[in-house]
Amino acid sequence: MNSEHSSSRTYAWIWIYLVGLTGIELVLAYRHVFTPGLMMVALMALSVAKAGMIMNWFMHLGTERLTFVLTLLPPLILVLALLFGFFPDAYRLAQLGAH
Amino acid sequence: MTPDTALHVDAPKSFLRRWIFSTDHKVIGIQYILLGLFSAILGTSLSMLMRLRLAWPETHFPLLEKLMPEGFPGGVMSPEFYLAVLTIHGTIMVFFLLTTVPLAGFGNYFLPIQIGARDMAFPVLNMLSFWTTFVALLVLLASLFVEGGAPISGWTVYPPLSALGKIAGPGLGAGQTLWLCSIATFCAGSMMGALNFIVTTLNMRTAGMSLMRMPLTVWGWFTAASVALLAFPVLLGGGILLLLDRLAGTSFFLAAGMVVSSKVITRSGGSPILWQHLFWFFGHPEVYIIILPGMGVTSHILSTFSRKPVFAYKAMVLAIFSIGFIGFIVWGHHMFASGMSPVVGMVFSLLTLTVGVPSAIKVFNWLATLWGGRIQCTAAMLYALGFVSFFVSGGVTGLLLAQPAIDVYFHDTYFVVAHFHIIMGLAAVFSIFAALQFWFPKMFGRHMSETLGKLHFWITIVAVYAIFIPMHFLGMAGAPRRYAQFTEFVYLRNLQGLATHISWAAFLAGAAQLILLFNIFYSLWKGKKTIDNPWSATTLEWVISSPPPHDNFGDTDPVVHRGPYEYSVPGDPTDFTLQTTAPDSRRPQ
Amino acid sequence: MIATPPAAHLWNGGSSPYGVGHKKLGMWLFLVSDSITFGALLISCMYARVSSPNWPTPFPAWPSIAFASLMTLCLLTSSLTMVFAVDASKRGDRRAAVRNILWTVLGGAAFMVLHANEWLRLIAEGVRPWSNPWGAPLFSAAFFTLTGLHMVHVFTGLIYLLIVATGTRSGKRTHEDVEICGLYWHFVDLVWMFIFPLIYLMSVSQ
Repeated sequence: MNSEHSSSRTYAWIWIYLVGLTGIELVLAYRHVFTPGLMMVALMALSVAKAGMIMNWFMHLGTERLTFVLTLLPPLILVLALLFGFFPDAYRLAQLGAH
Repeated sequence: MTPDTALHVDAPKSFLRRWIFSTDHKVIGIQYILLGLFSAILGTSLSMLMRLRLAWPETHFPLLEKLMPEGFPGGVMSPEFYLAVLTIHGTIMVFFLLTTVPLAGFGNYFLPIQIGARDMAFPVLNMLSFWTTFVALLVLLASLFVEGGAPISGWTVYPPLSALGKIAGPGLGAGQTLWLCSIATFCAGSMMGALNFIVTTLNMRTAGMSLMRMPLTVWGWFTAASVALLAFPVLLGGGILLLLDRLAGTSFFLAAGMVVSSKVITRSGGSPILWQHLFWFFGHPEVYIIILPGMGVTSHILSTFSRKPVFAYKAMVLAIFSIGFIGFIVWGHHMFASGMSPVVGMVFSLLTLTVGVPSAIKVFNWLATLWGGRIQCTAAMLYALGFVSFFVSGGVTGLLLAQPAIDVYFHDTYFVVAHFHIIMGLAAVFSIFAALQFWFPKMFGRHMSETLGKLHFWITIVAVYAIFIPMHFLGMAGAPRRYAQFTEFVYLRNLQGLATHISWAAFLAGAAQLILLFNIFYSLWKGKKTIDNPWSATTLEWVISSPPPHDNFGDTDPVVHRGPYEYSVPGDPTDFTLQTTAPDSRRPQ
Repeated sequence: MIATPPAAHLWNGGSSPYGVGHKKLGMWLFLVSDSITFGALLISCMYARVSSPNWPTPFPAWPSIAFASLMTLCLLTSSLTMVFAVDASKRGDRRAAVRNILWTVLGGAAFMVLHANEWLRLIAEGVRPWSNPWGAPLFSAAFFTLTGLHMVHVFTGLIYLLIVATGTRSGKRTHEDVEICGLYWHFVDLVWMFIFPLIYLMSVSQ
């Protein structure tokens, strides 16, 4: 029973962290702490942290075998990162003022 | 292993459960192959119509006018109808033949058997993915019969024309919407299939079947499925956005300031280039989804009929994997002419050229596999050699097209048409021929005719090279693709004879496929009966009877003791050693 | 003949190399693929934003951001109850599992109600997929596309949760089913962790 309580407590703490990080995001955005470009980076960094916590504790990826994690995550991260290859074009269009 | 009667499963009794809504991977594989056969017949017929128009642009064909009065007003095919035919030809061939048959067809049938499994990991999902694909095909065919007919935007459906609706041309109303629905459905079906393949390969290998003992076919299917799982979602996302542009009035792909059909388009804010990114982010990996299974089949067959192990098995696996990976980082080479920055173009060009490295590894390893082998020139072997030939001759022009400076000239000419038909169309189709000839006895218990197979091979390979080699010259002369007629261009008038020659070669190639059709259906009933292992091959599908029983392996699960290509092992009494042969049981010391 | 000793090499066949069942592996692969669908849409919307000169930032702290934050809280809390449900079903406590799944359903339903309210309010303000009162028409297109697709996922998730809850109650569904359903639900939550900042927080009015 003891371990059950301790795991529930872990989950509750993760929830508090997630809510807290969301709060930080809200403050950053509401007070316009950064310029839009920097804000995007900051918010995405916080979101990636939140996603990592959800996957690690809520989706129990932390307790799976390392090979399993290594099969799933690198291809996903790679493909998502590659999609950023669209952006040079977006900036080019912005410079052209094509709209 | 002791026989276990609990493992034995009988086929379902009812016709519907056994042959139509079957969850048996073998039946589903055959269903996919039949769907592909239908698509191939339709797609080839459409290409014949196109060649007719290109060779004799002004000749009247009263018969065709009677058959298709809207497409042939006055007996001459209208340019719009030509574009519709072209779109459906491309879509049918790329999606419903080349993506389904090598991967979902033969993969479904043989992947579970080759890894020693009794079915796929999710049999019901497997059935669903076939029927989803079937519905996608029906929806695509329905676009032929709605008002305005099939879309005229090509298989890449570039906006803005594809996003505007019927104002942009015939077929771009309901036909284009149906096309997008069809392809979105197809994406869903393919993703289900890919997921199933990956789980099956990872989780369901029989005892002893370590990854490095898997046949290269399994590696090809597994990698292609992984690529499909990661690439199809991007097309699905793009398809959703394009559908919204058409149906919900958004303008993701519509820039400001367009005048279409003398009407000013007021929608603005988007970029048609975004569609090109989304489409080709899927589209280039798609090419490897098509070709990787063919590479696996070719390695498998070359090894079997050279009576030699595949040269450098590990390098082959590595090459398959790196080709799958590089497929994701080269999509920009389809967009050199879109005005991308020269720096980005250079990066994509360099990345594209690196595909040559693993491709060359594969080709040299195939040649090294053949080297010094006791080669048996069966029809399946000939088809596999044909694959290698096309892979080289189509790949070399790929290196040219990867240079932005050259591509700007060749872009959208017949040079590109020739390139991708050879590397992606013909190579993959020949791997299908090879797989069919090779596995037909296992699937149906009867051989296809060797004589007819060889006849079909020689006529086809000569005819298709007679089509596509001259096409390179048309492209170099600047003939643009997707035009119904060249006689209007002064600089191309002298090449009309070449176009006619290409058409004659195309008709010959088309007619030669009747030999194949006859061979298939004749052999189904009258072919020579076969035995369990007619080719003296080594992998698990040859351990079981032909055709395999419903549960593949009966009362015992196979146990694998060795690699997949142990041919001509020194000291062995036969020149092949089955994967299930226990160590040293054949060689009394 | 001995097939494979229990401590066989991980990749040697005969068992899952990850010690993970088919269904769970399948669900993870589906989630990988679905992440890419969302990724492609998010990137497309960011592409539109970068290339548009007049991208609006229309959301005031009240009511838009406040409601969106409340929605985030609902989803995060439903994730917490879901993880409790998975824990309970692992212990074999089916009653607690069902109870916690139903709490999760409640959280998800609250999210949907709040979100539908948000949509209706914006539509009443004259926001349409093809235009909005503030600037680049693609802003509202991106808003409806992303939140719409996410809502479809939430709605599917609610049905899935109810099916699993019924099955768990009758004992037809195993712990694995609850766990896999949990994976899907956490994923819906995880995706919102990206949509919320990109759609709402990046659009807080000056």
